[in-house]
Amino acid sequence: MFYVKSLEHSIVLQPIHFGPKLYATIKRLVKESVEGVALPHYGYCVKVLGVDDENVKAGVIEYDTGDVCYTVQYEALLFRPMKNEVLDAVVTDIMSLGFYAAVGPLKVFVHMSKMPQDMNGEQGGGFDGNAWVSADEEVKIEEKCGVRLRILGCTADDGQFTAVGTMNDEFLGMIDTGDEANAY
Amino acid sequence: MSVASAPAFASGGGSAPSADLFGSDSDSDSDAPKKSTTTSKANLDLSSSDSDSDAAPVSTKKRSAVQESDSDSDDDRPAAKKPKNRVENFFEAEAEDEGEEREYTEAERQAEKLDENALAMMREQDRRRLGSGAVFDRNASIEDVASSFVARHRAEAALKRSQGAGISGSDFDRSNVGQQALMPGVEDPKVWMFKCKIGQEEALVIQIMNKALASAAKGRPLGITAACAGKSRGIVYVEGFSEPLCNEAVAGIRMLMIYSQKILPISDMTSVMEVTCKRKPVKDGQWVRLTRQPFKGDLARVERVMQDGNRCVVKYVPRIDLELLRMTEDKARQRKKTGPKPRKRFFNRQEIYDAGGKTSTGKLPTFTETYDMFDNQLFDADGYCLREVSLGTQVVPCEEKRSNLPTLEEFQDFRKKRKGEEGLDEEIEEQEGLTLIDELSKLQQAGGGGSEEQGHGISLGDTVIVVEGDLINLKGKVMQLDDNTVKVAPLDASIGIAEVEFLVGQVRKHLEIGAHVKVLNGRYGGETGAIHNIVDREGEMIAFLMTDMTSKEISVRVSQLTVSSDVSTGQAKLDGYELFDLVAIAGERNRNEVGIIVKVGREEFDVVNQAGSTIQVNPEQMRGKRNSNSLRATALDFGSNPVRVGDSVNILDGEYKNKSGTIKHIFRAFLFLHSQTMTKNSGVFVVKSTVCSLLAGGRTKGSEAPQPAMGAGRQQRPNPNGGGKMGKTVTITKGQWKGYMGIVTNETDKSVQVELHSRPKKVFVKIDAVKVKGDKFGPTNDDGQRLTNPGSGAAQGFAGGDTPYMGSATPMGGTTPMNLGGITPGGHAGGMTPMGYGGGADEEEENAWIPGPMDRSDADSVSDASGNVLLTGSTSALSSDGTPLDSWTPGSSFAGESPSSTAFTPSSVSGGDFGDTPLSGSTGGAGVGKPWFIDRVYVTGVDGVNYILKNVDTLSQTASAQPVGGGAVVELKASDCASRLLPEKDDNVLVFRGPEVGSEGKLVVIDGNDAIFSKPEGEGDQDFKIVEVSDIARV
Repeated sequence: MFYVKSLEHSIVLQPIHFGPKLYATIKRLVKESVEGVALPHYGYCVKVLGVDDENVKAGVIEYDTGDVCYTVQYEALLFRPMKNEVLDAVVTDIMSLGFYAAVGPLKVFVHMSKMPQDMNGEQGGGFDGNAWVSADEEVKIEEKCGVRLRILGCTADDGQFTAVGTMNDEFLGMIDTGDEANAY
Repeated sequence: MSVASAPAFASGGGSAPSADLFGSDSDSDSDAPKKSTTTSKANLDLSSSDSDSDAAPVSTKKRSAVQESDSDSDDDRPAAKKPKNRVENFFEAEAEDEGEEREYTEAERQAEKLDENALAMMREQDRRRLGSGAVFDRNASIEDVASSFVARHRAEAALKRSQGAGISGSDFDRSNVGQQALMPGVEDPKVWMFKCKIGQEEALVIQIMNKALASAAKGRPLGITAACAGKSRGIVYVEGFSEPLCNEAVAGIRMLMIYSQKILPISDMTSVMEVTCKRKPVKDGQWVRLTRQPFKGDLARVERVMQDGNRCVVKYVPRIDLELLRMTEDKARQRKKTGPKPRKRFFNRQEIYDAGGKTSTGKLPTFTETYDMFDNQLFDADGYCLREVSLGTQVVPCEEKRSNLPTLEEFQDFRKKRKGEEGLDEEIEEQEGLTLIDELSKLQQAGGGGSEEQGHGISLGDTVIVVEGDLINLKGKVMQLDDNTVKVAPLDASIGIAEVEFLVGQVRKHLEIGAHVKVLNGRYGGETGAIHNIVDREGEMIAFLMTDMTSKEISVRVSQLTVSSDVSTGQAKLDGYELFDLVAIAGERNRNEVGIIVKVGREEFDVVNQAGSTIQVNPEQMRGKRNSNSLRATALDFGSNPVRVGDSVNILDGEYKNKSGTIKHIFRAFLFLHSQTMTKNSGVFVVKSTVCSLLAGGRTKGSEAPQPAMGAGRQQRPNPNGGGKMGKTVTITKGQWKGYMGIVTNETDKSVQVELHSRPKKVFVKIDAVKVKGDKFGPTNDDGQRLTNPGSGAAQGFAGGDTPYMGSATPMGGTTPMNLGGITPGGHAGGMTPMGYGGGADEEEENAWIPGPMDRSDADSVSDASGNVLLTGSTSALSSDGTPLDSWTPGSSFAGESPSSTAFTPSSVSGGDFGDTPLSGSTGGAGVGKPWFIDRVYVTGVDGVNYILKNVDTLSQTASAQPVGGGAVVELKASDCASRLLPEKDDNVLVFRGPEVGSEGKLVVIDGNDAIFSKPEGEGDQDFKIVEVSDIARV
């Protein structure tokens, strides 16, 4: 789920940056250090929407180094995978135990037991080395094809969310053969 | 007031030497739903010392006692109380009731002291109640009754608190403070110990008791409080308040060595009463673990238990170190002490003979068979070692601890018969595997039986779910944990309950799918991974994990898991080597291989070597780690970008095409990559660096391009796209330093910092005040175009698009400056060039010094680099503007700081004495580059003209060349030849390498990569030869 939230971040600046461009530097550094990073509880920070000058609090000088620590409030567009959220993903890796699919920065693992029964071998179909194929061979999940998944759960460890998803439900499954992508 | 208590005496015999004073009546205590520990066993049951039928919980009983005391507050209660009041000097008390045998321990005395406080309180309460009338007085107002209840409960609570330490099973019971209060002090009776004959302890204690009873009957009680026999053999303890009384008590007891009397320090008194677990006897066929080196931790099976039950014969897989046989005595001793643990291997007589050892035969006591004997160990026909050991010190049963249980792998190792000899079928092995699993589960049940509480695996802070009762499916966090209850704070705050208490059996550990967990114990203990599925298997929740490191799927009971963000690195260590270490391995013929550890087993490693194949390696074969080399190394990817450890790369070609991975290690031009999505070899695979491309964003910032290993003295690379003057040699054209020459060491938009050649000084000048004179490779004009020696007749070598100069094609040896004037140049170490040629030096000489851009710190990687990397990698780099991306020759003709260039004159270089210098090793590389640079061969020059070579000088790699179309003969250097002219049908060809080298013939046909030529007539039969097209040249 995408949402906008106001967050705080602290930036440590060396004295070399003090000057007319101070605020610009702070804003740039906030962007650089936060964008694209997974923040525990909040999700991936997709974009920093804005930092207002008045939201940059007065810095605190660190005695040992002379650096100054600024606490900055910023608005960010966040992407947080939610439990039971249905997402469209692109398959990135096929393995004998299932496959990985990517939703932007988020990697979702779909285990074979979480695939439709006619695909995980229980009622035919299965893994053929490069793809997961359904019993009637109509559905073939290979790299770069698009799938619709439901998130079963996810965890955030350092800078990275990992999620486990299912494809074994109504309206879930392959939605795009990825042929166009595969053509390239 | 009647005093009715006996001086209690202990019959300290039997299995409970610390015989409980209130042996009989404390039974009622143990019925209460409380746990009791030996030392803190206390008797709360004051009023009914003989009420052994009373099974009510203590509190109830207490209340009844209180009520009872309402009616008859002063008759039988004091009777029970009195002796306790005087318990400390009870030997002065008259014994009237002699039927009772009592023994006092420190703990009880302590508890009783506390009891007194309680009694005092109770008495006070009774008085109050009496004052206010009967409890259930009909006339009493409701308030009175209520307040009396309140008072009663308050008193009870106070009682509980004050007795905390004494009341077994209460909350205070197990606290350290509670225990501490029970410790004996100075006012307590002292303990003396007497030696006696071993085995007589119990009998002696009984004798003392009889004596005490007898003398008490006579009206002269012995002045001791207890006698007992502890766990130590041959010692009897006597407790009393004074030594003379104690001596009197034991006087006349035979077999007791009076003279050995010794007082026991107070601190040691408790240990006398400590209860130790009885050692369980082992049975035949039971699994045990050896405890002595070098077998420590090894699994063994009991073959036969010896008669006394303390010794047994065990069978285990031996660890024979054959290396020892090949060593001198001293070295062998050294190795035995400090060397690596020998590997487990089955005994093989032949192996011993081969290694020069001798075996004999021997027997085990009580065994009829004879066994092979080697190094004082006996081996049976299957290769197992047999040995008689003592239980407890040399072996411990596996079942004693859960963590000691053998794993399936260990079983398999144990069962693994000597290879080849048994010839086990797969099927048999499979069956055996099944029986092993059965055995394992049996063992686990047996081992787990005693630790059922551990089974639920709940600890503080865990999330649990309620599985039975009204609140089923409630989820909460464990706030407090007792032996059999848990306090749970519901996760859903809207429920409005802070904490609910459940029995342990009513809740179950709860984990969410997708959680990252760590396995606490069991076979997969220590593994981490993400849960992708949880299933209910016969009431037991099983979680399926994808492990982090190896991308395996494992199934584990939920109770064995805990949420954790750790990422395990698999088995910890073996002989100091860890997973994903880059190691050198002793290969065949003393050649060391390098590989990366992908699995750490109990005894050996799985290693993926440079070739990408997996091999099993013993710790003995390891030749050290290469991690630090790898961390320092850089390799070049397809686009000649330096890649380092930790970078992510895409693989462009080969088996792993389109995969991507993170560089774990670099060895020469090989990258050891790790990918999460690969299951084989823990996700590790090997590729050449040149088939990879650095992933965009693999590195955080472009500007942080690694400073390859050289460190000091190395200049920054010039920007290949022009613009940057960094590292260029410039002359200053304006200002104070006009006319000076130097190297640009730093630059900004407007100014540059120039390190002057002639003075040890760095100066800042405006950027328009400098003129680029060259770079470290030689003089250039301002556009960065290379100045060439007009006299050399060579074409402009760096023209874009042309085949770049290959270092190999140049007369390398000749220009090796080391050889030139016997001058020691700066050497490679500093990264400064050893080369210094004059401004007019021939161009190919510079070319000769464009070696592979590789990690120069590693001498052996250089040659490799020039073989691999240079030929492919730097090709494109060179062509853009003629400036190699990377080179290790920062010195130039202008480089005044280059020690070598100032040391000799250009003329000495351009002199014709190249021939004198022997070919250096790297000219071998030249031969590989253009091996067809031979007489008579047709070549195409870089200028596009075809030549026939004549008078080739292999040393200087020059030849006089006759243009094919006719024209003047010119001097041609190998570097001027772009390629050889490919022969066509019916052309004469010469084979310049391969098995047919030297043979000539007429080309018949070219078929793919094969060329078929016929040998000219006159050399016997018409003979067709097939060689590779790349091996022939037209002549």
